[in-house]
Amino acid sequence: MKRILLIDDSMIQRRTLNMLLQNNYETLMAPSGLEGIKIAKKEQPDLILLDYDMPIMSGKETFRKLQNEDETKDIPVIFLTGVDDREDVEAVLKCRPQGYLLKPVEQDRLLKTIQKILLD
Amino acid sequence: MPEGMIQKKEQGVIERGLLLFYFIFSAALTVVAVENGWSIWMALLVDGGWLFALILHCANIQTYIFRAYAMTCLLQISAIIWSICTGSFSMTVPVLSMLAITLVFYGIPEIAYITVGVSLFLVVYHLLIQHTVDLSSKNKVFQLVLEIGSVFFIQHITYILNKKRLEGVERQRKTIASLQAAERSKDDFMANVSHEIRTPINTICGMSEILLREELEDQVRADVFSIQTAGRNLQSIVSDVLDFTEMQSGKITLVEEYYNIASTINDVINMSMARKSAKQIDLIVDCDAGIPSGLIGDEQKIRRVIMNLVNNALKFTVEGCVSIIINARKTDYGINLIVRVKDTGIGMKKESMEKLFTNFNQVDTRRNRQKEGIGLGLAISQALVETMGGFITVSSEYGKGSEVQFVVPQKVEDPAPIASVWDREGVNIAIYVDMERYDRPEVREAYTQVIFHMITQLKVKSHICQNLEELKRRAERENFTHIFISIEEYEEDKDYFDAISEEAKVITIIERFNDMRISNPRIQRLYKPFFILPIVMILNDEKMVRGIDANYDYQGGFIAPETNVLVVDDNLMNIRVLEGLLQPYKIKVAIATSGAEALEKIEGMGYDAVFMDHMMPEMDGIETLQRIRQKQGNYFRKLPVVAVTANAVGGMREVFLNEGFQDFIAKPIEVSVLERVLKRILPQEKLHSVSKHTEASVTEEEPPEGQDSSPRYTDLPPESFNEEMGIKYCGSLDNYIEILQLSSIQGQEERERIEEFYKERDWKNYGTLVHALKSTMISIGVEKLSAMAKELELAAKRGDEEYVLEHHAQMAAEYERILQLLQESRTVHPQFGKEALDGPEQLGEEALDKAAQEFKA
Repeated sequence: MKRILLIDDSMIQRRTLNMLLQNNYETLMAPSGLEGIKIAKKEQPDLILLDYDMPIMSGKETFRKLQNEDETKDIPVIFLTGVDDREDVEAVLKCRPQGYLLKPVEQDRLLKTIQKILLD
Repeated sequence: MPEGMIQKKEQGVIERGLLLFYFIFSAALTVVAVENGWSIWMALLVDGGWLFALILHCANIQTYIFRAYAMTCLLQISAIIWSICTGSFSMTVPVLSMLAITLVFYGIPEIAYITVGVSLFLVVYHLLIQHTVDLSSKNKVFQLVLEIGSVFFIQHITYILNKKRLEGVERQRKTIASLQAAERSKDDFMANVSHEIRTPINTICGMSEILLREELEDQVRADVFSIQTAGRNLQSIVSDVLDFTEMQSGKITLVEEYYNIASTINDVINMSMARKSAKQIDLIVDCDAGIPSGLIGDEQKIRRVIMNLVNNALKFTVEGCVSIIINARKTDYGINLIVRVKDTGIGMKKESMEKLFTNFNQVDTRRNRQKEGIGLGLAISQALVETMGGFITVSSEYGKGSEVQFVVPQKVEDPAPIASVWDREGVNIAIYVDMERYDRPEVREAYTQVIFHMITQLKVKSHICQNLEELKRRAERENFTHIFISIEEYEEDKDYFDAISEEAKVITIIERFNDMRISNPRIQRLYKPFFILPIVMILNDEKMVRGIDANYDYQGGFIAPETNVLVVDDNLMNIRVLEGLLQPYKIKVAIATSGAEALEKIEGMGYDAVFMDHMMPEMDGIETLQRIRQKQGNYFRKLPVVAVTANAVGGMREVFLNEGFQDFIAKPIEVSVLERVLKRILPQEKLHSVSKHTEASVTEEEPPEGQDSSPRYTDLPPESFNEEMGIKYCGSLDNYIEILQLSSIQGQEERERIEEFYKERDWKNYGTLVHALKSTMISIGVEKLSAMAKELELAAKRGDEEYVLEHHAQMAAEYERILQLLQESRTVHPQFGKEALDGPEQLGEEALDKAAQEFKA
């Protein structure tokens, strides 16, 4: 089974995502960007679901750090963001993640997006 | 036939020509032989040869090539005989040359070999064997060389010319073959493209139709209407092109179905009015009242033709009027339906009229580039009409206008006339319409004709008044039951008409957009174009709502709230369109996006009918249907399944019916077709009729706003918790409840933290937490609080302190309320809920701590 790393500061979000994914994927969780990077380096997941709006180390920063490290730069990342501001969406897209989804996420959409990215 | 062969038709001509030449040659030879006293048997040989050739030709012995070679040999032998008889090479030369040239006609270059061979032989014969050549002087030698040279030269040239000619023929053949192949592949392409194109057009037309039923602002409605018109235009252009392609392959199939011409006329009027849009043209409809109401024929095609003609008329008319005149003449097989479309447009010159019906033609194409359309209309119309067993005629006067008429035979199912007044005696009509306002005499004439025609047919008492005084005078004496006027007349003396509307029905003929000029509800509005049907309805006093018009009330007639229908299509867009179209009938719609999914759902045996798209990946419509029919049980054998397809080529209906479908609908879906199909396949007892002009008598109770009608899974109040949403975002009911529990447990703490940041005016962190709150709340279906949080988040982000200060308290209170509801909920806290009633405070906290420990990662 493929493994997905969830990086989100909200426990409820992590829980929800975990529920949506648990039937199809093995999930790893991290409550912050810092932790997330550590786990990503160690566990080498197949995909990372990254919350964009996090305090302290933001999703954008986390993403940048992941891209800079050799061990993690090839892991595909999907941004999760609750913003529906156009400017912010553009900011998200500028990072060029492999995918992005708006919160709250529907199970169908989530699974399909992940599937598509994992197949590429 | 070998490559580069002369065509069969020419062969006969060539052979006969050569036979004739041979005949002349042998006759000449015979005459000369007799004259010169040569041995007659030589001449007879040549004659015999000719006879032989004649027999070969008439009896068609062997092939053309064989005969050609045979003829060549016979002719060459004759040349040799001639040469021997005359004993002179010089005499032979012209003969050999003639033969060489004549034999070219056969188109077989190889014959040259024989002629060259024989010539060589004769040269040798005369030169070396018989020594008949005179080589005495240089001149003579020169002459000989000339003779030999010219013979061979001619033969060489003819050989080359023949070869070239054959190459030309071959090239032609190849070009024709490749053109034919190109046309075939174009046809295939068209068939494929047909599906691809029709699907999005279906979406455009269907969606705009659905939108138009919503409450829309005027400007928006006008815009959507433009989209629909454009969509329909596109649909008709595409239809034209695709039909034309079909027609070229000769694939028009006639449908015989029962129809009512009144609805055809309705449709035509609607479409024509849409087409006409802003043009200052009057559309006039004159229709026989006595046309039988139930006809049998191909309604779609007839409608198509009428629309083609009307569109053409509208296209080329700038002002004046376009009249549609429909008559029926009785015959022994039913009736002859005669439709005439007249216009006051630019007309056509005589020369142009002849070119009319050829494909892709439009008179004055260069000048009229601005006119839309591809000019296929007439060609297609003619083909359609002729397939239906009728004919089309055109007459026109350049600068004045045109008239196109077509006649088609139709069978009659129901001879009752489409319009008749019930109480003829009890009706007394006054008509006051000032024709002078129309400048053009043609328009005045047309209107007058229509009115006269109607009055004559309806056989009711009527008076046409020329001015207001006359009307008033007569009104006093007669007892008019109905007074027909138009808006200008009404405004002449509003008070008078308002007053008289108390005693008689006053009907104002008016354009749709002028509607608001009449405020008096007692005045009946009759929208242009008027024609006999709505007028008869008025005279019959049939109940009407607001304005009678020849417009269809988009759908109606029935509703079927107890029916369940399954729509199967891999394209969600198509599903939505069909769903929307079924909605007015209150039919319950379920969907499936694949054959497999459909099979699963049908297992439940809950559907009254299935609409199945024919083209789906993996399992297509036909295969799915077969699987359905194979299942055990009567239900599956009898379940009505309708094929829905963009593959609307001729003959498809039969294919589908053969496969076991109950019926077939083509995309883009036409509402009237859909309605007909529904009426046919849905169980009759579940159809409840609804009069078009009165309130629906059977209406399903609309569920009140909110989630009262759907089952509740939790004991949380629906106004605050949108269960459906929560379950959707959490994945399942169990997940949902778990997240509710988590939110409940965490919630208190979170709320306090938010409060902290608020007090410290730490907007950055405040915004972050409120953002999280927004997300969490929406995923459990708490929309109101989520919305509040969102606004606060945005305010915090843009530094709008004022807003936050104003609205924070509200949000906090709501948050508190939600948390309270969660706490009290038994679903969320099953073991605590009960105790919550007994002793909420203490136990609640303990248990909360315990659970918090469990959950904190």
